[in-house]
Amino acid sequence: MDSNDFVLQFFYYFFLIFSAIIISSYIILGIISTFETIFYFRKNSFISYKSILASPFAPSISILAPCYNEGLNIVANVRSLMSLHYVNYQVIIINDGSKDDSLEKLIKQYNLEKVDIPFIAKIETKPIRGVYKSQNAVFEKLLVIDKENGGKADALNAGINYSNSEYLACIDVDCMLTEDALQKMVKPFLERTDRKVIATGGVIRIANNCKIENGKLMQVNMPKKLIERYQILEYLRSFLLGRMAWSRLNGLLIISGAFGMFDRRIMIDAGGYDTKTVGEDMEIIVRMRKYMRDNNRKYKIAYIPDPLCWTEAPDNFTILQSQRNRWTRGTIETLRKHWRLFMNPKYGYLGLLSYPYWLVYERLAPIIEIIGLLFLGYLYLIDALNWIYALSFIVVAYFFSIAFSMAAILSEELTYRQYNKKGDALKLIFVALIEPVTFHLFTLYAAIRGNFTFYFQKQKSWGTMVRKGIGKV
Amino acid sequence: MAEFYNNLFINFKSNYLELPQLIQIIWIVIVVEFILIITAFIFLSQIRLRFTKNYKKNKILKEKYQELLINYIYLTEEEIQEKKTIYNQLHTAVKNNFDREVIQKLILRLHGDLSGELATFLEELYSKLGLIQYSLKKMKSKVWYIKIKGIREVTQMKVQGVYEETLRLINHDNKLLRNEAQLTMVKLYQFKGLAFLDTLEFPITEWQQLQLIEEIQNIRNEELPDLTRWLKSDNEYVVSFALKLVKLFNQIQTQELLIKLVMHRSKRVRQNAIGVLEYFKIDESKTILKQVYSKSDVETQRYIVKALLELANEHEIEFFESLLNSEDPEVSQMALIGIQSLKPYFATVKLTK
Amino acid sequence: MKQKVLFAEDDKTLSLLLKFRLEKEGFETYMAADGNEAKILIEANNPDIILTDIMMPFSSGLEVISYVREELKRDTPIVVFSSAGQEEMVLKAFNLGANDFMSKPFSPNELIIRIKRILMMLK
Repeated sequence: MDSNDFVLQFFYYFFLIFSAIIISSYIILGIISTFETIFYFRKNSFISYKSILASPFAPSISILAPCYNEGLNIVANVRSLMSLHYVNYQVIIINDGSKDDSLEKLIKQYNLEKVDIPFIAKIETKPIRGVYKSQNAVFEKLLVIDKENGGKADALNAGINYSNSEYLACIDVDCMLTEDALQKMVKPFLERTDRKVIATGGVIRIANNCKIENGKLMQVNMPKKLIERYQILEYLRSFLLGRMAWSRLNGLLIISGAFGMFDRRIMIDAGGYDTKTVGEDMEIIVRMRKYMRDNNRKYKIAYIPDPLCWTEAPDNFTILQSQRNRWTRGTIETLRKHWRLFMNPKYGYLGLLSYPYWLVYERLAPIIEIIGLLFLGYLYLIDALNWIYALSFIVVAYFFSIAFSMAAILSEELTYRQYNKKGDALKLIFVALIEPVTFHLFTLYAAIRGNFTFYFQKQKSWGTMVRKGIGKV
Repeated sequence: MAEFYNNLFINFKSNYLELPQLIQIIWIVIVVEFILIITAFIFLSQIRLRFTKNYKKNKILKEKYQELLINYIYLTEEEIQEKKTIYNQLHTAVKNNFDREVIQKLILRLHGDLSGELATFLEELYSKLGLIQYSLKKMKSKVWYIKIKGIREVTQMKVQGVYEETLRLINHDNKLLRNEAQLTMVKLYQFKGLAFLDTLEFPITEWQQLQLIEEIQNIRNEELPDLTRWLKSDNEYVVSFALKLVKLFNQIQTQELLIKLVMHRSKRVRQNAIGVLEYFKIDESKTILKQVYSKSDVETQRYIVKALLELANEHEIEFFESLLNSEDPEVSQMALIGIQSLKPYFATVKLTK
Repeated sequence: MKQKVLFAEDDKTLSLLLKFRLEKEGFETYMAADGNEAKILIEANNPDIILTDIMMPFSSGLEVISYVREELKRDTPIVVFSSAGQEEMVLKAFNLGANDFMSKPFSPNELIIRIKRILMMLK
């Protein structure tokens, strides 16, 4: 057998084993997630959250929402955040040096005046220009921090400095939270005595085409564009069949930056957000986990499958590409920064399971897939392509993708049923059918570009998300 | 015709068996996946159909029984014939599972919002319609979440004779059942129901403590229990819970015990105790707080300084000054704030950190 | 002239029950399922007394109070309902202009007595 054959064999077996592991891991995670979701569902089916609302001992929560050039919707967004049904909470808006009239609009609408609040700076941030509170008692929950531009992470750190609450809900300011979001998200922190819960993640739902009035979700509708529907399918798979399992295994490496709740003390002690990365939401989780392990403290990161947070998803390829590009760079940056965790037994599951899995199946997977496709192309060119092999691989992967998507749609159907109009499920199934040859290739492309941008164009910032206005029907 | 298919099948089979084993396996997997997809699809459409059907049915039935129920409640003595008709209708309906669930939910929900005559009336109706049996059956279920539903229904409807059953669950392995039993004890026996705290060996989560406190807040006209027994408990969670009750019921007279708790073996209890002392503004605690400061961990130190900020007078200035160069920036900053509030014209000291 | 009562409550069954009872006592009733509906009905019908739950989906009773006192500038008596000691909300309600409050669970008999008493005090 000559070296050529050997190389060929090596590639075949490599891809085979890689795919076999990824498929089985998806199945295992899917099964664990399902059990976990069902258990959560049952456990909370008779919970009354009223006790936490009424209690003088209800934990204090600060919502931290950085704002940059959100003038179009900022007033509505803030009003929505202030009408949640929790009692012991405050809303902290951090104006990160917006160039538009965000701050002016807030000052005018909420009767804000500059105040002097003594605070204890626990994390360094860009300079604060002023702090504002409302003169109107109805808005006494609101605190607005005006500071020089420093990015989302820096803005969040400023918010952390000014908060005195036990827990922090870090959100994107244009995220619409359901009225009971806070009490549901804070519950996991209060339910364990053997471990300290340091963070909770929530499910992000796509608000495109949903009817939202006065900051409340009135009706859930299936979005019109395929690209939006694709993201729904993606999120369902990722949240309902992925993250619930990781949470159970205590191996979760990321909580969405759109909505997450954290123990404020632990967050400060771990150092706050890292302003040098675009993936600050993933990086802080990894660092908080590392911090707990370094200090030999038992901990857990929980996940809530309830639909509590609704956000606007990119509705065109340009913005989607920009978002996925950023996600890729964030993953790379975080994994690089914490390379010491890799296969390090000192870090238990974090180092021996989560980190390697993320490294191979999240960060390297797009690259491996591209190499696989190129390899197929190469074989075709040198006329060494075994059609039976190629066809079999492609078909098994395609069918698996559809089967997994069906599982996700089914999972949603058996739990929250947010899309309950006639034909909604069919629309999602259609996307599942065309995804492998359309959107999946696009995401692959965006990930590769992310790698390029990371390695060859260091000066990339957060990218822009053009505000369309959430909730327009 | 049959021969054609036969040939096709033989061709197919021989081709298949010629393939390398790996590919054979892959194609079996493909067939399995395909079957799963079709099954999922059928299952999905069935669920959706059934759900829409049930939803509509539920809505119609709910409106129907809602009206019947309300009419039944407000019919006067003269209209006794109509009353009997409605009663019979409900009585028959209860035999049907679907209808029974609708009626049960209606009565339970309504009962939860009402008190007084009407509440008692609904409890009697619940009993007369025989719904108690169904709730008791749920309570005897082996499945934990059904058991809990049963306990709730039975407790809400003030069904008698479930004391033994509930008591047995106080020490159950399943945390959720234990918690439910604890809540039920308080619902039924008010403060006396808290007796389980005397011998509890399990921890109590913060969430459960909040639930217990909600129930306790519903207690009216009952004498407060003596909290000192629980403040001295071996179970640190019982102590923590008792501290909450001390705060809730303004039991300032326990202050000596509170001060002792500042040196409890559990960090959580120490911090909670300091919090309560701060809340009650107990000056006498300052000495002990300053004493234990140096032996405490950073987190507790912050609690201590925060409490001292609340209680401080000129005597504390020296202590605060000693903290200005603390390694922990929060402590030093709090100390600075403390000094500034006591000596308004104190020039801003440059911190060496 | 029948006196008009407006009741804002999201639980349909309770709503229906109270409507029945109030009509039996001789009141003209308007039932709203949420804050928005309440505002619309209040503006259109100018009730003599308003009863509203503090926490409803899509809106809060506080918004209703604010609307009546500040936008419509009426001094219609307002009674708020709350479940198990939502003290802070109740205090806010009073600050905004509510006149009385009843906690849930409540007795419809007591409710009727309260309504009658408040309306009588106005005369």
